[in-house]
Amino acid sequence: MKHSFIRQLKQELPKWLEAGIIPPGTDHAILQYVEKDKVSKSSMLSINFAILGVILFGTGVITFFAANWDAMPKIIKLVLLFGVFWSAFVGANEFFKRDWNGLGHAMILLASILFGANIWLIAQIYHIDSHYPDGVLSWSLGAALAAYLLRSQASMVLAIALSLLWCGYEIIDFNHYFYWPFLLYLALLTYVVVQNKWRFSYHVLIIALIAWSYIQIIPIAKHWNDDLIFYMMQAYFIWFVCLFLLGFIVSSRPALQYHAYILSRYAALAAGIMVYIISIPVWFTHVDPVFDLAKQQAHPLGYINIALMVMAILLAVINFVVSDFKDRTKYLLFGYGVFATIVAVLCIKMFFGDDGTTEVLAVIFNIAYYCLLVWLIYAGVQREDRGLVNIGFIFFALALLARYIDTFWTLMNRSYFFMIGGLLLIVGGILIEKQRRKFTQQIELAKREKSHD
Amino acid sequence: MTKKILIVLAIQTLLLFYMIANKQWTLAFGDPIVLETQPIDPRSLFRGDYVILNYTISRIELNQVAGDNVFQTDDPVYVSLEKKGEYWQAVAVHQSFPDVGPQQKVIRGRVHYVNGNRYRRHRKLLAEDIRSINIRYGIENYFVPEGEGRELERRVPEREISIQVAVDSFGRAGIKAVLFNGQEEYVESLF
Repeated sequence: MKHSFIRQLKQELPKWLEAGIIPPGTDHAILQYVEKDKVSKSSMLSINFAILGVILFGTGVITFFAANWDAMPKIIKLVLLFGVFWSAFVGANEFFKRDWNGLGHAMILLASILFGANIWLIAQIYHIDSHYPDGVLSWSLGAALAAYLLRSQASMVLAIALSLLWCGYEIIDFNHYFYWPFLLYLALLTYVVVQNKWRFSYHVLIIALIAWSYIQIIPIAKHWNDDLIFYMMQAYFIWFVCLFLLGFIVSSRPALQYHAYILSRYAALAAGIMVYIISIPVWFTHVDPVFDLAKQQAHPLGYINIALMVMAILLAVINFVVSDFKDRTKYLLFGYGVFATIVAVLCIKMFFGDDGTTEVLAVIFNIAYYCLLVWLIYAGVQREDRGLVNIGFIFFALALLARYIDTFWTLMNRSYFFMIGGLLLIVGGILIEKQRRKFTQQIELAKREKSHD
Repeated sequence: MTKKILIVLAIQTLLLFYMIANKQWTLAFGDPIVLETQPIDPRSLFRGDYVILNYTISRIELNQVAGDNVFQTDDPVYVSLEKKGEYWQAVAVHQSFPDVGPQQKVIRGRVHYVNGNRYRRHRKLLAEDIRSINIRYGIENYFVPEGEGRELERRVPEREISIQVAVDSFGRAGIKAVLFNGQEEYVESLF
């Protein structure tokens, strides 16, 4: 049981007694029951120290081998490698037998790290020079196996991080665009994470998915011009909006609500980064359309954007259908209106490139962008999701700063620019922070009232 | 829990043993051939020395050999080798494993990059554009005791370095020995 839950229970129990909800004497029985299973603060500390100790020990083992490697005969190297590796498992088993689960899991993590070290060291000993991302994948699979069978969340986090490294190598070093095997593997890991209800791992999974999306840009950006990079970023923005809407849809199922909220938050963050970049007015005025109507030809990226827009619209419709009626009228309709404006502006940009049109489009896009951020904050308050509120405020502040720089950098004397900018930042920062706290406190209050009901 | 720990330990250990067995199988049952090399010497992450070995068969001019002439980066490639003098040289290059006579061996590799006369849209070269291909066979890195890598490079002008490679029936190759002027200097073994 979490400390925060027990603390809250201790605050609520006297009120329940007073209200007659529970009979006298049962409050002690309830507290005894929940405190029996709680993980004490001191044991949490020892678990964290154990894991840190394991990581340091693992690093020490690797550097020890590295420093003395060439002096050892092959047979000694193999005995050491397998001996230390097996010892980690033996140690884990002994700790689990004694119910020292924290130390047991730390040893499982150590074993997972040593498995990877052994892969690379054996490759060096026997001059195995094959497709090196396969080595990283093997390491990740080993860690995932430990995570699944031994219920080791630390090994799962390692497996996810290694899978991203594997995919990164394939995409950047071997130019495997849109490396879909990563998605299949991630889906498998997601199943294990959801089955075990590992919240931290779930965060790491979503970050890995978004990082995979961003990594795709690297090999493509090397070969493409600015126009195509813009439409690629646009595609990413719409893709992240699709993930955001998916989170909203999934949140209608109570069992998956936590996962849905996390997905929406990270998708909002990722979409925010993309739309922040493409909102810079110079993109609109200097990028050519991706559909050349005169020559009747188009880059495939244009069709990808259209397909993603259609997917986003479909998801928006599904979300509208599954959502509560009060949510539709409260904030969904406004959000859809703003998003539809943004999609319309981007569509026009894909087909038309007249200078006069593009400047107007840039202005409309930026206005819609600000409206979208305001909507995000409002949606966060309505859904009692502080994460969305915080993301909305962060990007609102960043967008204001960016437009201030765009507008006044060339118009003002430098010293005035920095002085006024600094003052605006201080005052604006205070005002924005006040508003943000007001909204997040509103959410906390609403949550507490719900828990009393 | 003990049973599950044993399962994880067994599977991971088997994977590591498979790595060793796979390599040793090639060295034990592959046919030995000698390839000419030109070493370069960087440092490894683990502070050992290793050399990057460049072979005469690493770069193949397609108009000088038989076989296929359409390749892209990362394609698998099968090179037919024939002994000419002291060393084995490439005589043909194929997209799939070819049938060869008893005088020839086939070594498997992967196209590292394609050298062309000109670049077309999306960097896709057609047959008439491709001049040569650079191939990696998995025998390009060799770890030596610390300090000896630079010694290897210093010796290049005076001493001819060649590599004895074992090539198995699947075309996989493994380094058996490093030869200085035809004499074995470093020899690979299981232990």
